[in-house]
Amino acid sequence: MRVSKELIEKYQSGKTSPEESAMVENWLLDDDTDFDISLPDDLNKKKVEAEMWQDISSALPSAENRIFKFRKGSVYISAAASAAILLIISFFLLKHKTQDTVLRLASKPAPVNKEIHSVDYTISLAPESNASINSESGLIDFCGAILISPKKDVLLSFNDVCGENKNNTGKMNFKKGETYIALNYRNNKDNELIVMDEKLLMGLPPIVKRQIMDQFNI
Amino acid sequence: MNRAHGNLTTLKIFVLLSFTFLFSCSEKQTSVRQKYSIYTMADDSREYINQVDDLSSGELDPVKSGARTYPKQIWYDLIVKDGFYYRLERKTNFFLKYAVIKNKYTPVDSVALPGMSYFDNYNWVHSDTVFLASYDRKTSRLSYARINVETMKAETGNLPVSLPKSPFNSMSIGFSMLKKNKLFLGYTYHEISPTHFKTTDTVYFDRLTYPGLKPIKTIKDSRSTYPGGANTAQPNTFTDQKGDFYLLACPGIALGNNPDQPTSLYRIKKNDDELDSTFYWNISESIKNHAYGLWDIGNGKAMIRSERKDLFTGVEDHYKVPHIEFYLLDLNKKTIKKLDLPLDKGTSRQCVLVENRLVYLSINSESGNYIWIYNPKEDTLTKGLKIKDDIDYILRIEKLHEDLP
Repeated sequence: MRVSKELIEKYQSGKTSPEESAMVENWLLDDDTDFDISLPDDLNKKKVEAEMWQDISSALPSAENRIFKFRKGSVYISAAASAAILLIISFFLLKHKTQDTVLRLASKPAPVNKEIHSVDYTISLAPESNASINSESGLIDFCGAILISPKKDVLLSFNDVCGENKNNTGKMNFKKGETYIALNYRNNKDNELIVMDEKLLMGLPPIVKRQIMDQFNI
Repeated sequence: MNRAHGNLTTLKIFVLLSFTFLFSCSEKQTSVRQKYSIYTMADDSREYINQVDDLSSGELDPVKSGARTYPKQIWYDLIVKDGFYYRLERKTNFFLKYAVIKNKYTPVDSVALPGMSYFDNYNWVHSDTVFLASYDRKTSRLSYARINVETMKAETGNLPVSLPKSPFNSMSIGFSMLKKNKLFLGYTYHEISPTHFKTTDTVYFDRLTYPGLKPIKTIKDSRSTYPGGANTAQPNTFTDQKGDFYLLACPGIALGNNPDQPTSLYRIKKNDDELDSTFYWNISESIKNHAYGLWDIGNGKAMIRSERKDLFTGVEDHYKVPHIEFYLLDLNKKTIKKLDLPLDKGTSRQCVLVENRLVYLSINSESGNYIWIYNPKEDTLTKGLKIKDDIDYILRIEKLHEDLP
């Protein structure tokens, strides 16, 4: 079974079974793919609207069912459905009027982090960070912040090489499909090496968390 | 070529929002009004909202009965007001209004906040208007947004507060407090690099005109730092029944990371615009630890959450090891008393709620997740609602409506 327009409607009206609810919620949550729309230099509003609408429509799994199907014989339902289409379209057009500022502000290209690929994992290196990896021993020497995406369950060790006297080490079991962050955290006295699941980032101080969000476009 | 960035989840939320819009036209929403909202995170990191009528007994299974929230959050910033929830979608700068309808977490409206992807602080400056403030390092702007949540119209702009100067490259708005026609903004400066984070050694607050937001005066105090913390995660200020404003400054490693300074409690009296020179409380001296989180429980008493430095090693385990204790402060006598509760976990949580002179505290402990009830008059503690063990964190407990008897 796929997530369809009908299933979303059913979900919104609270009539889905627990399995169907889970399906819609997983669809909402788990497909967090970035989209990237090209805009002409002379930002053409109509075109932006059309492109945004196209993207939104394709986000609906049953794109081919985008045109509402009217049930036979009911003038009332047809009218309601037409009104509904109008409402949805005007809603998005209305929202996009306020969107051009957002688009312009977001027009700076995000810096691309350096990535290191190994058979077992991919590592993304934050700006101003450095890392060297021994893929045989699973030892990662680093300073700064790195994001780790394991391709299988793997045990990795970390060594803080920011310099000075004391080198911190840490190790952790990483699960396939999850994302992890390793970072140095220090004040004048202490130097810590933190390795954590990305889902638990909320535990970090707000300023550090924001830096990580910016560094890895989370 | 310009490029626009976003993610599919956001688009899906907007699709959902359009459907909600449809339903609100075609079907009258009927839902039973509940008293409290409980926001939890399960062991698998999924998040749920439950709305309940009673915190004093029973058992709650959020994974089974809760409304799952989305998208994935790394902040606790789910604002509750008059039965609705508000949250900023960080990748698209949309401020979304949600409701739990038929036990589904449902977007019902939104407004664009250009340039704002995060906020440090929120403050209800009017019953239907929320004021948000934050500093963005990418644009070096200290911005605010004033949003009417009835009409979902927003006004945004820059705040006339001194921006960070070298070596500082970031700042936090720790509190905003409106008193008649003046807005008080508490803030601090940070120095952050990929390997280093530190906060300056001073508490700052500015007095601005309101609603014009013109600067009047800057006040500094170098006994502590980071006034107000981040109230999106946990409150650190309150105005009591008399109209006196209390603020906790948080230099501990979990907020300011300037731990040589003490956690400190300050006061601004009702009819004064300066820090009260007769009231300063070095909390770290009283509890021999740093504290975060401040709640008014009435009758000149307040509550704080204190860390136990002997039970964690650093930021790496501060959020996941149970080490938090609750203390009761008598603001008039300046006495302090530890509550006899199991050790709690979670660096920041909205975990205290006061109603009918009873204090409800959510505790994530190794002996189970419970809402505990503290009776200040009798000085007793009892266990109330149990929340199932597969819940890793009870992120927030709140009243859904302020007009509770």
